[in-house]
Amino acid sequence: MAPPVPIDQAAEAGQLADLFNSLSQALDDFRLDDHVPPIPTDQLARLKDEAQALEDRAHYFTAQAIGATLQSIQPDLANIKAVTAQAKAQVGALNDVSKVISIATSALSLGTAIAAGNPGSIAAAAKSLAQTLAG
Amino acid sequence: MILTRVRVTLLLVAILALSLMSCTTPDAVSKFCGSAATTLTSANPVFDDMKLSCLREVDSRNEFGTFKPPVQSDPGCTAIGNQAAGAAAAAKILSDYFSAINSLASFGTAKAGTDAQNLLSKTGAAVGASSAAQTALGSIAQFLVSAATSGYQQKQLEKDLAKVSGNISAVASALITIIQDDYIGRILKSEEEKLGDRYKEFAKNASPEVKLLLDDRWHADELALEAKRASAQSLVTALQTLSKGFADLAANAHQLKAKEIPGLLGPYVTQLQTLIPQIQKAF
Repeated sequence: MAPPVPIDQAAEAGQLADLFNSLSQALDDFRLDDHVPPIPTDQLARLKDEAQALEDRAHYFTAQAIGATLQSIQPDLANIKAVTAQAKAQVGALNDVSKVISIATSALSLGTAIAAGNPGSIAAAAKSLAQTLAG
Repeated sequence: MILTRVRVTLLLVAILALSLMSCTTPDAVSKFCGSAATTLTSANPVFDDMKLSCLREVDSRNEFGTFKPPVQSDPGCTAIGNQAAGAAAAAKILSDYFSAINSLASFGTAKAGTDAQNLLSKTGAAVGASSAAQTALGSIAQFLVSAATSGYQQKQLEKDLAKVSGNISAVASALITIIQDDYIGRILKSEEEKLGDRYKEFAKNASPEVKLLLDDRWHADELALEAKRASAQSLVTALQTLSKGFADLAANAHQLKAKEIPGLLGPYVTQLQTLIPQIQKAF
């Protein structure tokens, strides 16, 4: 026996929305057509109310259709989110490599200045290292 | 003797460089991802208009001349608005992904190499190596760091593209369904029909002069609706382009040579950049 065909909830809800919208529009078309004898005012008002109620149903099923479509992609969104977090971490890793090189360069400048015994150069190199570490 | 060793090292380095450069071009990937992220951000006003269109439709149930303020809230429109916010959130997740890949692809690996060259030059100066040796040392260091970071960047990009190739297509397809079927096919269509009914109802017993005035106003309203529909349709085309471009990139990321990637992604980037202003036009 063949397995049952899975129900496409978004499509089903969408079709119901279309059905209620068509019924609402059919009522409005009827109400706005010329009739002989003319439709009494109270009945016209009732037809308008009914058309609006049917349109409200159409809105409800449209919302259901969108919800079902979104529900169907939840696993996809979860995976995309996870890979996005990984990509951000990878950018972080690349930044770390750059940072390590910058710190090493500044530290080496400070060491060279200390070895040379120049107070002005030592102060400038120390400031540069502090800035690199802070950045 | 030292110079010969340096030359051999540089030759090996050049061979390694060529092999590393034969994969994807991060710059082309970055441009594509940047355009994709902008496209997805420009979708927000379309999703916002789903609730607003519903409210305009509810508003049009009031006859002309009742002078009631616009409807601010309606249960059905609120339900549509909540789901539209969900669609906008899905687009944001997609946009965040493209932004992260853009950051990864546009990371300046060359700068890391220059920093390393400075470090090695200073080391060379500190140990008193000859000028020629210092230059060679610096060049090798620059390459090694640059190759290491760009190799890492390359590898991670390929992985990050392949891991979600099916997911991106599924989410783009869902967003297309929501815009095409629910927004254009249902919400905007219903607003258009009920707007027409409002004018018809008022025009029923009106004089020819009033009918002409109403006809003019209806045309103006209809043009605004038509503009929204055209913008939404441009968004659908942009999402199709984005999905197809990404599928092509993910499928070919491993085997395409650097010069082929811009050729592959270029038409998609051009099309997305043309479509973005069209999406924004009505909103």
